[in-house]
Amino acid sequence: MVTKTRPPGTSPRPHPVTPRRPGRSPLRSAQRRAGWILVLPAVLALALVTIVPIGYGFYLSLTSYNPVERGGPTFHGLNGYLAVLRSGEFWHAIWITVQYASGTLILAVPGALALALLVNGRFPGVALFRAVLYLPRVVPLVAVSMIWLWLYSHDGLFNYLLDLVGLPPVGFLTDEDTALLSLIAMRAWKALGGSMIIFLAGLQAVPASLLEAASVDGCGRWRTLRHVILPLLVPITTYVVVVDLIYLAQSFSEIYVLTSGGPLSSTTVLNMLIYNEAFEHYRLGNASAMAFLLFCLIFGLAYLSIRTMARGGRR
Amino acid sequence: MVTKSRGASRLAAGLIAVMALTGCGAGGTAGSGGSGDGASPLRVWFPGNLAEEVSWVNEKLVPAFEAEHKVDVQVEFVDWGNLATRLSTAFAGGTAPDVFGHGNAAAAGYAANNRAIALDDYLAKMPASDVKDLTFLDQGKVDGKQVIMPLRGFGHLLAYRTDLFQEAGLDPAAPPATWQDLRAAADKLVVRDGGKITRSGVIFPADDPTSMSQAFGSFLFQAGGDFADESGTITWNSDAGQRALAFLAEFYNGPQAVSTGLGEATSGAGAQHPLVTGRAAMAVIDEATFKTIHEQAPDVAAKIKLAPPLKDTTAASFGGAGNGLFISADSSRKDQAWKFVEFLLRPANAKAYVQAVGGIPARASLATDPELAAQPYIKPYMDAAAQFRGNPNVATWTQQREALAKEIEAVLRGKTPAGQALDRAAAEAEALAKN
Repeated sequence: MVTKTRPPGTSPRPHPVTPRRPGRSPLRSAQRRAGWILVLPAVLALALVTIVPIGYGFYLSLTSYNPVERGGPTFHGLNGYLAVLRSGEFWHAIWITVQYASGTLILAVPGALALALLVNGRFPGVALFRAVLYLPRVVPLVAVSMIWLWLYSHDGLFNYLLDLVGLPPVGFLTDEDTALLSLIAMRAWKALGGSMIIFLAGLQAVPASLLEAASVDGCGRWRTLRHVILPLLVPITTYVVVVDLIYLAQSFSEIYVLTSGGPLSSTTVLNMLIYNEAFEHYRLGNASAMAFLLFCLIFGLAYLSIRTMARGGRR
Repeated sequence: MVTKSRGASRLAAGLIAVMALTGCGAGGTAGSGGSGDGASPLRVWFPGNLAEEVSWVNEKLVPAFEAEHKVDVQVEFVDWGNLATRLSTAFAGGTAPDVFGHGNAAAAGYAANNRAIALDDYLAKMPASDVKDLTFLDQGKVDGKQVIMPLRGFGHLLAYRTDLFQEAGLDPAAPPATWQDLRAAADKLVVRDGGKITRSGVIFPADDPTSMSQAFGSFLFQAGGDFADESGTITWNSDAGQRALAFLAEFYNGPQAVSTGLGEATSGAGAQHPLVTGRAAMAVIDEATFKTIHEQAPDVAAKIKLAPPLKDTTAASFGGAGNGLFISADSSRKDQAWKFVEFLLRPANAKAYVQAVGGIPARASLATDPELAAQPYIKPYMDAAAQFRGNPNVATWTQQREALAKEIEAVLRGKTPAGQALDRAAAEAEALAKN
């Protein structure tokens, strides 16, 4: 039998705790002030570099504004949005953006998953292999684009290889039929490493007990992958698709370097059109309106992806 | 569960909103500092980032100017591709440099928006003989006022490989002089493998739609046409324009095509230029590109000659005043800015500038300079200077040119007939001029 002893003078019952009123912080006001002071720089920085530009951008979208003129922005309500929505160039750019983003995702996501499955195994040199596959991710996109500009050029590596096998040269970036596909191939290659690492993290989080159970139940590799691993990877896949989609829909630098939107506007994605509208035609109001419409597009596509994949995951 | 799912969706939606909006709203600010208050340095933006130019300006020109005028100068070289972007954001943000360079095409726009000052008062203080010596001065005038001081001239000339001429049975001493000559020579020089052209008979500037519009410009002038009349009304869709564009398009389209390389970067390509690699026997090239060929492939350059401007009804070619300098209307040190411009245009500096950059010197007196005359990539362009013609000085020219350029590309790629394209471009350009 265990005898409990109590120090003299102490109450047998715990002190009654005053119930906290809902909505009140247990912190004292001085602590709260200190907290506010600590987060204030970050809040101010966020407001200054993110919230204010977004707000100003939205204001510009409701104006007519040529930065070279001295008059400044002239408010004209939704006219800019209406002009943009009536423009054939805008819808063409939307279509190119959708093709570019979806084409890249179709190549990059399954490719990254396949690579993750490959490097998830244990074999000599796997760490080096992973590092090499991740390398494109850490190289700046502009630098990658410059390298691919040479690879795709008439005297570049790809045409040299075609020549070796007796095939005629291809105008990868100068032919309107191949330019967008060439951009997609480059961008998918660039995206593979980053997505692969995320999938790899997901794969390594799959409980070993589940895999053992599947094995005991007689599941082969394919059935284990299909019925155990892939369902568990749905949240990761959703994340990869959504994040890639957000970045791809905002693509600019690689297109600026490789094709500048040509030939014949066949690679003019929406961000390229926004750039042209702002800095070639000096229509900053319309360009801002396009930027907010691009935001709506990205938001819609990403939200749709999340909902669709979440439903798939629940099934 | 349903509540959790909705909560997660809302959280995700919020995250997407922030990420996407951050991307949409992201952007840099151009430049820093003001236009000068007496203590800060004189700020100068040069267009382009040619290594030789950067080196000469930083190591020779600026130190000499600073020593003579006791003024600090801060020079920035802005890539041509980013120049309009940087300048427009600097204007909007009130951070424009005191002196900025650009092509002549932008002069009327900056003048119309009071971004650049008229330089006539300063010019009036220069000796008359000095002013008369400045070759391209008139091309920098907008409505009779001097807005830009051209630093050099440029031009497009037909370059041809003498060895390939001989192989094809053509006389290298008698290059094409007319459109018919050009077509006949290109037909002889083209090499095909089956249906594919393996060596173009001739190629034209076609790096991008703007280059294509300049290639069209040469034929337009040769046909007796022009981009616009004196009042600024578009005339590129005249009969001369349609004939010129149809003629140019035939080089690229149809079973008798002799040219390839639309969209291929050849400007400044040096040793990689198709004329050097043997993928083209003739090429219309500018002086800067020809200079890079001489520097990077001197052995092949020795086999390349330049022909005078072609003639249909008029012997002419695209060119004229190249990049020049403006003085910002917002500059608080306009006098010092002018001194810098004037210093750069002194005979010795004007000569050194074209030696570094290439092109036609800004001073007529340098046409007889033995050192410049000995340069094979300068002399032929100096000789043709009087026949080079450029863009019209109208306020919305750069935007109008883009409208033309995209239609020209469609024609050269065989998508649109010449007449229809030129009319459509003219309608768009007129609308731009009215807005």
